[in-house]
Amino acid sequence: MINIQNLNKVFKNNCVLKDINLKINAGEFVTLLGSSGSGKTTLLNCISGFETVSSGNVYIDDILINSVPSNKRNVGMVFQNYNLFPHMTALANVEFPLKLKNIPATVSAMEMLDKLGLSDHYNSYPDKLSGGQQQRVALARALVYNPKIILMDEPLGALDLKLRNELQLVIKNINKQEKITMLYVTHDITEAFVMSDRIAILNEGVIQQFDTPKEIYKNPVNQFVKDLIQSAFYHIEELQKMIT
Amino acid sequence: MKNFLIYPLLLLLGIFFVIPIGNMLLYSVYNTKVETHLPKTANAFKENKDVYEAYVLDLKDENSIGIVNYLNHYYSGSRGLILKTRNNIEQFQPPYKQSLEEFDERYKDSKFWSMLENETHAFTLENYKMIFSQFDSVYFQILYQTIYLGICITCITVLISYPTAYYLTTIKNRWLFLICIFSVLLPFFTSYLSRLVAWLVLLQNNGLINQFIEYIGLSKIALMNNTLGIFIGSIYVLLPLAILPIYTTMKKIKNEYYKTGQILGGNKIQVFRYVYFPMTAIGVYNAVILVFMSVIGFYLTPALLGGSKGKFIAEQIVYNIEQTLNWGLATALTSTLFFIVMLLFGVYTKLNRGIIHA
Repeated sequence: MINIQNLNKVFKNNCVLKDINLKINAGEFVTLLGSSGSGKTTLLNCISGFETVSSGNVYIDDILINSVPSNKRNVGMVFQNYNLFPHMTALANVEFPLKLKNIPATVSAMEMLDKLGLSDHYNSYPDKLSGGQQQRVALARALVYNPKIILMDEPLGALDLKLRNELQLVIKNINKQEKITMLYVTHDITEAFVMSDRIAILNEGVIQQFDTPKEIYKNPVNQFVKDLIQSAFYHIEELQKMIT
Repeated sequence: MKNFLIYPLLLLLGIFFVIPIGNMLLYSVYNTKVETHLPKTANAFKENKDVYEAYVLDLKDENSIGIVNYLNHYYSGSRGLILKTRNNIEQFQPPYKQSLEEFDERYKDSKFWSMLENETHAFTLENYKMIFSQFDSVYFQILYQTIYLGICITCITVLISYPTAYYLTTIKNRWLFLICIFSVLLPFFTSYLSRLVAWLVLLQNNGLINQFIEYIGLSKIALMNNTLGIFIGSIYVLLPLAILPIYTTMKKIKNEYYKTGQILGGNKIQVFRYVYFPMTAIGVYNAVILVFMSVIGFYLTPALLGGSKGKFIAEQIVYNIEQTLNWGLATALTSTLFFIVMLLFGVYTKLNRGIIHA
């Protein structure tokens, strides 16, 4: 589905992505995990077309998309700050990508809002919706035109824990039911382990390990991954000790 | 407690807006001019007494001189008629009707006397009748021209300001930005009159621009003393008023919206049309209001660069206040302009309620 080969990205002599190789299968949920500045958002931007690659290739369905503009890549994207258009209602926001493609919009948009539990809010402007509701609208907008891939740049980063857990479930269900390939960016290790089929751990622009959560937990390939796992599960282990 | 803070504001609004505007409206429909300067005549109309006798007696009084310019507006030639009558006032003997009619044929015209009677009423709509009675009346034409030129100047100013403001948002170099924003703001730091005089130097027949045109072998262009002069001067003065609100709106728009529009399938034109422009529309709306409100009150620019008098209503208002002392008509013109602007503002706001909400 997504095949990234030897990708490098350089900003003013600063190489932020170094020789990235990543193969993501159709319908898979892959998380890019790393701390701030590790290059995960830049990698996402290279796939979405917001950034051009310095060298290497990006394929979607075996088609080289390096020079395809982002509006023609048929990729959906959900941002951390939702980026709902403030001058449009929830319904108009969801209809927007369909209208651009001249697809009859209202019914599909309403169905998508219903599916995400927003049928009562279709006429509300973004400023009248809560953070969770806004992110659901953003998700509906990204899903409504059936893109092959959905890229998510820390979509739940601005939400509280309860909402985050709730939406994690919603996103995972959509991934399973619709079989949409999802590439998810987060720095939250627990979130990555709960949601992902596979996780790519990034540090300073280099993929440290790309494997299933179970394999990463059991067999971390280097000290960086080991430390990362330990830091995440230390509190859980401490908590378990206290309880038992 | 916080609500108390609103009272000084309301007081200011009352003192500096409601009272003057209310007074102006009252002045346009309340007229004591004839009662003041021709009190006996006014009284004779009210009590059905001999108007002709009262009129002659009034004209004997020095006080009556104050009415001549005013009445000339409502009955053409009445200024000369009254002055001529005053100069020969001693020759009039009873019966005064016959005496006056023999003195000048115009005293036989019932329109003169009915005009005088109308003007004796304290409440009068004469000023408004004068503006709206005929579509080809000079006041209606100037009013129409003011609004028409105002709309044209506003449109051009905003059309120039939009890309300029956009360019300002794209400048990354700090020094270049400072130079550009300083250029935009510079007119604010300079006297309005100085700027217009500077334009006079540039635009006049032997000014710098025409000298250059002549130098490159073309014939001179009339750049001032015409509508073009008004356009150039007004647009120059108003550009900062339009650029700043548009720029501040554009500056607030995150680049992410543009990216979102693109990733959802929009090309550059579609993203501009459906995302960027609607989000900047509130800035455009504010710019239109600011520019239009300013331009329709322009006096100095048309007076200095527009040449012959009477292109803008402000000139007529000043003329009526300073030259003919017809405050009633001046305030009626001002009130009409006020209501037309309010109406246009209401319609414009209604049309843009979506933008305002967003």
